[in-house]
Amino acid sequence: MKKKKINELTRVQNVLENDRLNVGKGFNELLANDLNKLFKDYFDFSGLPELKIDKENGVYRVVVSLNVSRVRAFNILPDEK
Amino acid sequence: MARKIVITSGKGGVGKTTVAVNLGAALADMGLRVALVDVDFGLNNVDVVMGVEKKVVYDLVDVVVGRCRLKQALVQNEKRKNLYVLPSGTENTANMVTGQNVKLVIENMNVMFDYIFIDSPAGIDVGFHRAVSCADEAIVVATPNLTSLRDADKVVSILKSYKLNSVGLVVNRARGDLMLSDKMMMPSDIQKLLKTELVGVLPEEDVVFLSSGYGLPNKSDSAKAYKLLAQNLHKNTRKIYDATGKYLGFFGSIRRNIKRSI
Ligand SMILES: Nc1ncnc2c1ncn2[C@@H]1O[C@H](COP(=O)(O)OP(=O)(O)O)[C@@H](O)[C@H]1O
Ligand SMILES: [Mg+2]
Repeated sequence: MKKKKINELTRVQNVLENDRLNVGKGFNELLANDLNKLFKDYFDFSGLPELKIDKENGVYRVVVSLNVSRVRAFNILPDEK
Repeated sequence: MARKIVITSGKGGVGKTTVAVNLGAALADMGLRVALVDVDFGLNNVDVVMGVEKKVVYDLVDVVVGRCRLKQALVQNEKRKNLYVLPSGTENTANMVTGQNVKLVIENMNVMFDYIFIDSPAGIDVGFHRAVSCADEAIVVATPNLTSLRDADKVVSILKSYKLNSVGLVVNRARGDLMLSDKMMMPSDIQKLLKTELVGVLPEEDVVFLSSGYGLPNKSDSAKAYKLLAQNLHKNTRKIYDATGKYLGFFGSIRRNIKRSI
């Protein structure tokens, strides 16, 4: 019986936390693509930036990682349009 | 100076109006001057729940557009002379009233009352904003089920942008028998989930106690629970009604069994 209650509580907690984060299915992909565009202006790298989102006590920690082979020189930053 | 408290929930039908009316009545019984301002331009309004709908002549919209004076629109409760309702008006007049309008009306009630409760509509759109922008404090009503809690959680996060003095949680329709058999979440768990301070728990009431217009039967569990809630608000105590209390012990287990079999 106790176990059932804890499961229910965890379930509600998860639902609320997912609501709070408001992350849809395509969220990670969208964000990774956007970050990709942004970082491409500054760095040379292959693949997409990797996203890691952890939750701890209802606070989210977003870590973006990518392996950069070269930092772009300023003179090759795109001109403002 | 009146305390202006908005009663809100996100989800409809969880008991905002019921809480506003009965909490108002409990505070009135403590000798305080209470007004219930209805900003829910829908059905089952405060006047109906309090049973004074036949006495309604003017409403909030009439006050706003200047068809009557504030005192003409306030409807007095028959049994409790220090309890008043300001009815909302009909749905099609809702767009004539802005948050600023209502705020002005409520400011004018400041010296006449100790408590002004603003009963808000369901949802988190214009009507919600209109209700919350008039208040200094908020009470979020939630029932112990997932859909209600999701909406309450959203409302709690939206309320953060309103710079209110306090946001309190009221858990309505609590069933002690279900809590003891782990079929319903405990109010303390709900408080943790919503990260909002619990100011009251109200039991599920079997008998129809609403729309009687005369308030709750004095010895009922609900009456006790509302009394505690009223005291918590007024004296800043935190004595929470224990919905499981009457299901504990020998007689409690009998009650629980009876509940289960009906
Ligand atoms: N504690 C309770 N026990 C039983 N019924 C309740 C309780 N609180 C509210 N209700 C019922 O739930 C319905 C919705 O309540 P209402 O106060 O109109 O909700 P809201 O204003 O949030 O839409 C009403 O029929 C009311 O009688
Ligand atoms: Mg209502």
